[in-house]
Amino acid sequence: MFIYDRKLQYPVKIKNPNPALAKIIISQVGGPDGELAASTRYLSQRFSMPNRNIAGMLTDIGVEELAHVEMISAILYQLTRNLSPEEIKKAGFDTYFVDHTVGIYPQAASGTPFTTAYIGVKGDVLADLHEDLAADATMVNAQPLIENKVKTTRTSCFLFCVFPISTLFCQRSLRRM
Amino acid sequence: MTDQQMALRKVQQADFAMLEAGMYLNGYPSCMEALAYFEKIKGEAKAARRAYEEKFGPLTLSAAGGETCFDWNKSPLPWEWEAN
Repeated sequence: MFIYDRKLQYPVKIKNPNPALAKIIISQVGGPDGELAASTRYLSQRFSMPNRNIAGMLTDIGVEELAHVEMISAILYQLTRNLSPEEIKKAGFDTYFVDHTVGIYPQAASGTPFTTAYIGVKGDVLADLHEDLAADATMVNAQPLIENKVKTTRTSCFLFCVFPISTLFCQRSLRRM
Repeated sequence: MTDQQMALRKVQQADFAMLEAGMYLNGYPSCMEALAYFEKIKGEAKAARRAYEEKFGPLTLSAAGGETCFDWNKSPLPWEWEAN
């Protein structure tokens, strides 16, 4: 059972739309190391956990990851507000727009649709926890990469976007160490 | 920052602290310091939520209602610019 809390976990208020940035940020929703993969992973693995503490922990984390999906999606939604056809073309957002307009489609930045091939669920406590560690380590390694990519776009959205994402990465990684 | 934004920030801050303390307690359920912190922040989260909902409308379905019109979907949705 899930109950909706009608608020974001962390506020998202983006002044200037930036579709070029949205093209990159979308990987954090539906990419191989995105929030949707994280949430699906934990919420699927938890059932076969032999230890109630671990199963409960995976439930709590999986639910929080859903809140992250919502926040990143809110970032994308606000980055793509009020666009003119010229802005869409100039930003290279046209290749996404042709299929999804400004809908939030869970996909990687490369255009690959979200797939559960990104995650593993083996019903084995060691295999699954090992997979969780590997996934989280990937996110820690990806963090500087993402920041660099975003920095190159030289945008005022930088603080709005990257700060909440990177703090979430950090707190999540620290918590799980 | 408007009164509504400030009230919402308080809910977000307290809820986040409570969530993280809860995660920690999953791993260390007998940590007295963490248990005391959890009790404290739980109270703050409840109070912040009640204060927000009284003035600005429901955050969960259990706080929704209305005498002539249902108020659950009256305010902007959380991802809207106006809601933050």
